[in-house]
Amino acid sequence: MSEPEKTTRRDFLLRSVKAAATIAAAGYLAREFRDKAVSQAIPEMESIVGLPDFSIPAQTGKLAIATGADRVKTVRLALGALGGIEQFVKRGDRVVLKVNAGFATPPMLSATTHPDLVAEIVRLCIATGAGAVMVMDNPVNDPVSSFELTGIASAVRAAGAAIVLPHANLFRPVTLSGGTLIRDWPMFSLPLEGATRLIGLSPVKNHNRAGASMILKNWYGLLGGRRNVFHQNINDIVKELAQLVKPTLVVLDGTTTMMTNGPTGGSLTDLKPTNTMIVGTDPVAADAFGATLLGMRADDLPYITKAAATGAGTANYELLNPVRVAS
Amino acid sequence: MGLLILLMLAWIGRWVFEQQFKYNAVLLTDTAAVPAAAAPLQPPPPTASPISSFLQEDFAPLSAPEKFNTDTLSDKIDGRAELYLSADVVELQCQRFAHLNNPSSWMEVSIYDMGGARNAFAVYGIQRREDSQDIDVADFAYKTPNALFFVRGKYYIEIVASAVTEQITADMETFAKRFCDNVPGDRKSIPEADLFPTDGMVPGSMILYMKDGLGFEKFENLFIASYTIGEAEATAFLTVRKTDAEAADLVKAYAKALLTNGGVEEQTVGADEWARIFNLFGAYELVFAKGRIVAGVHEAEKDAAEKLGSMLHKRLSDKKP
Repeated sequence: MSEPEKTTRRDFLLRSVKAAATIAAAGYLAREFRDKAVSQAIPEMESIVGLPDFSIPAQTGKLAIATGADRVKTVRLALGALGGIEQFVKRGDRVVLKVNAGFATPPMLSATTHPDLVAEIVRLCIATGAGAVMVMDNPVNDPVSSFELTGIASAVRAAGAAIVLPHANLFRPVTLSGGTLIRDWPMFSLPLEGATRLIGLSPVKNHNRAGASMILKNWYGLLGGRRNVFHQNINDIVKELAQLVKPTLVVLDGTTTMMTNGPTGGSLTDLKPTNTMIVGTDPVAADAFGATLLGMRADDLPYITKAAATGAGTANYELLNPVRVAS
Repeated sequence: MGLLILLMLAWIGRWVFEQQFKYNAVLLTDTAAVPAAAAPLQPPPPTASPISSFLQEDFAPLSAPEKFNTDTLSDKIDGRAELYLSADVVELQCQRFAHLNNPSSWMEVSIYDMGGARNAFAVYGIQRREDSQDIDVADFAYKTPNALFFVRGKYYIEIVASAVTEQITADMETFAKRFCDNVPGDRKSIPEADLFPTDGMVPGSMILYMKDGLGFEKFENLFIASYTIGEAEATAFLTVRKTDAEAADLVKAYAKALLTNGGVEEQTVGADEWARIFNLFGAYELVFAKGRIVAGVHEAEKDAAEKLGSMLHKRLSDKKP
C-alpha cells in the first residue's frame, strides 16, 4: 500500500478554482435550461391561502324572498325587507359584483345575469356612497362578446360602474385550506383582494352536469386555468367554492327560470316565469330555496348538501325565517 | 472538496426542480380563456366562413367562425358538452351573424358534426323542446319563437336568434333550407323512426337513447315515443338487435330486471302469445320480441299498455323490417 500523496498549497488552490468553475457552470446551465419565456410571459404571482372574507358578522343568516314579475321592483323590495342596501354597503366601500356573464347570448335567454338587475344593484351601491363598483366574471365564451351581447356591459357603463375583464395578470394561484381540488389553482382573485364588499348575482338555471346553476355554481366563474377538468367532480368543486367565497350579499334572480337544456338554454321554451327574487347573506340557503323554483329540493342537489355540511350555510332555509314580500 | 461539489450540484438540481414545478399561469391556465397579461380580450374580427354561404345576403358575420372539438367543447357550451360527448360528437362549428339593417337582430348558428345520423338524431331528440312546432325544412326539424333546430345527415344544427320577429324566423328557415339543399341526408338513415305506429303519437316526442334507455343498462340504441291512448299517456319503445336470438335474450333480461326491481308478472288480455306484462308498483311495462326487434310499452295503465302494445306489434308485423 502506497503512501497518499501530499496536497500542496498550489494543488489545493487549483482544485478549488476547478470546483468553483464546475459549480458556476452547472448553475449557469441550469438557469439557461429553465424556460425563461414562460416565466417572463406572466409575472409570477405569489400563491395565497383563501380569499378575503366579505361577510358582515352582524348580517349573517338573513334571507328575503320577494315575488313579482319586475326584477327591479322585487330586488328593491327584498333589500328593503333586510333593511336596505346600506346594511351591506357603506360609504367608500369598493364593491365587486360577481355576475354570471358566462355566455355570449342575448339577455332574453336568461343564461346570464339580467342586465336590468346588474344595473339596479350598481345604482343602489353608488347611491349609498360606494367608492367604486366593479363587475367581474371569467366567462365560458370569449369575455368581450359575453359582456357585450348579454347587455351587461352597456348596463354597467350606463349605471356608472366598471367591468373588470379576466386579464391573465388578475389571476393568482389560490389554495383552499383543507381543500382537495382548489390547491394552487389560478383564480380571478386580484379584483377581490382590493375590494371591501362582494355581491353575487345569478339567475336560476337548470345545469346538465350540476343539476342547477345558481349562486354557488356561479363562483365557478372565479376559476381560471383548465377548469373544465372539474366537471367530473362538479359537486365537490362547488362545495369547495362555497367554502372559499364568503360574500357580503347574494341576489338570486328567479324572475325567469331556465327549466331545461341548461346552462346555455337557447330557446324561450326552456324558460318559465317564476317571478321570485331571493336576496340574502347565506348563499347555501339562497340556492336551497332556488332549487324549489326548478321543481327540486335542496337535497336533490348534492353540492348544496355538501356545502351545508362544511358550514358554508344552511340548506334548511326556513330556519332563517325568511322575510316574504310581494310587489 | 468532492463532497462539496456534489452538495452544491444537488442544491442546484433541487432549485431547478422546484422552479419548474412551481405554479405558472402560462402552463396551467387555458390561454384561450385567459390571454396573456396586458393583451386585449377582444375576440378575433368577424370574417366570412362556409357557414355564411347558407345565409341570406342581408346578414353579415358578427363574429369570427369558431371550432370546438371533444377537448374544447365545454369552452363553448359548458355543462351541456356531456350530452354531446356521450353521443360521440366530432366537432362543433359556430358563428354569429347580424342583420345589416338591424345589428341588434342577430343569430348564432351552431353546426354539430355528430359523426353519423343516429348520433345527430340522439342529441336532437333528447333536447326537443315542448311547445315547439314541426317544420318541413328537414325530416327532423322544429322551431320555437326564437330558435330553429334540425338534423341533416350527420349534422345537428341549432340556430338561436336574439329577438322574436317573423322576419328572423323566416331568415332562420331560409338558412335551414339552403343547408339541406347542399348537404345530403334523409330519414332513411334512421329506419326505426318509421316503425312506430302513427296513431296517437305525440308529435316530436321521439327520442333515441344511445345507452341505458329507460334506465336499463342493456337497452342500447333504444327509440321511445310518447302516445295518447284515449285519456291515458303511454310510452312505446323499440330497439333493433343483430339477431332474433339476441332480441329474445334481451326480452328475458329486461323481464328479469323488472322482476328484480319489484315487478309482478300478470296475464295480458289477448297478447299472451307474444308479449309479457309486468305490474311495477301500479304502472305497467309490456315487452316483446318481433324478429330481431325488442319493443314494448313503458309506464302505462294496463289497458293503455295492452292497446299500444298491440298497435306496435301490428305495425312491426306489417312493416316486416
